[in-house]
Amino acid sequence: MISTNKILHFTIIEVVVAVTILATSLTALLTLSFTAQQRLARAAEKQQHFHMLQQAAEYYMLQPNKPDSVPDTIFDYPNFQPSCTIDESPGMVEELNDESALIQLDVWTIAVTDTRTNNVVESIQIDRLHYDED
Amino acid sequence: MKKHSFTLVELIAAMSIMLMVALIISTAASTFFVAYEQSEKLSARLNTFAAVNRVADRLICNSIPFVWQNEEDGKEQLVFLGEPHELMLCALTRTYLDDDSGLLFARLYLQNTTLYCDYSGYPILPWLDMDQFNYTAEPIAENVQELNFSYYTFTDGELEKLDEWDTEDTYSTSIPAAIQMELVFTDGTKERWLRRTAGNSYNSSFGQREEVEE
Repeated sequence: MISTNKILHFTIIEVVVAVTILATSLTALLTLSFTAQQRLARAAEKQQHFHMLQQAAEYYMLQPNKPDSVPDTIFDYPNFQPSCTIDESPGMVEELNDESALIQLDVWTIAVTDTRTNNVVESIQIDRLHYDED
Repeated sequence: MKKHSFTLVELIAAMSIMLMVALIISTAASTFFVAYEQSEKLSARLNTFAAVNRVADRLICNSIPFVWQNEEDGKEQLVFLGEPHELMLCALTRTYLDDDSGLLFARLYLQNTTLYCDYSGYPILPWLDMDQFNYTAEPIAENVQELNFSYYTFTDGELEKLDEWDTEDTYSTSIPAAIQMELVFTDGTKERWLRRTAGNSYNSSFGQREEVEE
C-alpha cells in the first residue's frame, strides 16, 4: 500500500544545488551585463577621441600654414594635446614636386595625444595642396 | 497524528539559506541597476553626439552663400542668420527620387532645454516670421542648457573669431569660413563642434569673401 500523506522535504543537498544554480545564473548574467557595459564605455571613449581629433583637424585645415597651437576656445580637453606634422607626400615622383608649374602635395598628420600616458589616442592623415605665401 | 515542529537548528539553517538567496538576488539586482543607469547615460551621450554630428556634418559642412530677394526693398539678401544663440543657413544636400530641392534651409535654436532644427527644401528667410513657412521641426538633443555659436573668418590673413555674423554690413555676400557650435548640457558638461563651411579653407571659398565696398 502506498502512503499518500507523506510530506516531501528538500534535502540539504537539493537546497545547496538550487542555490548554486541560482548564483551561477546570476553571475553569468552579471558578466554579460558587465561586458556589454565595458564595450559601451569603450565605444563612448573611442567616439570622444574621434570627436577631439575632428575638432583639431577642422582647425588645422582652416589654416594656411601649421599654427603653433590650437586655442582653448576650440580644443578644451585638459588631458589631451593636439599636434600636427607636415611631410611631403610619400610615393610622389620627385620630379613632379619639383615642377614649378605644379602645386606640391603635402601630407598633414594630425594626432591627439593623452598627456597622462603620452600615447596617441587617435590620428589621421590628410593630403593637402601646398600653397606658397607669396 | 503527530504534529511536526521545526527544531531550532532547522530554523537557523532555513533562515541562513533564505538570507543567502536574498543577498545574492539583491546584490545582482543592485549591480544590474547601476550598470543599467550607466549604460543609459552612455547611450544617451552617444545618441546626442551622433545627432549633433549629423547636423554639423550635413548642414554646416555643406552650407553655401545663397541670396534671395527681399520683397520690402527689392534687394537681394543673404539667406543666413548668424546670431550668438541661433543659426539659419542654406546647405547643399543630396537629392533622392521624391525630393524637391537640392538645397536645405535650416534653423538651429534652443527651446527650453532642447536643441531644435527646423528645416525645409524651400527658402526659410531670416527677415520674415517663421509662421509664414512650412517646415519640419526636429528635436536634436535634450538637456541642453546653453547653445552658443562662433563664426570664423579671415581678416588680413588672420583667422578671426566673431560672436555674430553681420549680413547687413561688411560680409553681406559671404558666409563664415567656419562655424563652431557649443552645447552646454544641464549636467554642466560642454562640447563644441567646429566645422568649415562648404569648400572653405584659407586658400579657397565658396562665393565671395571680400568685404563689400560701401
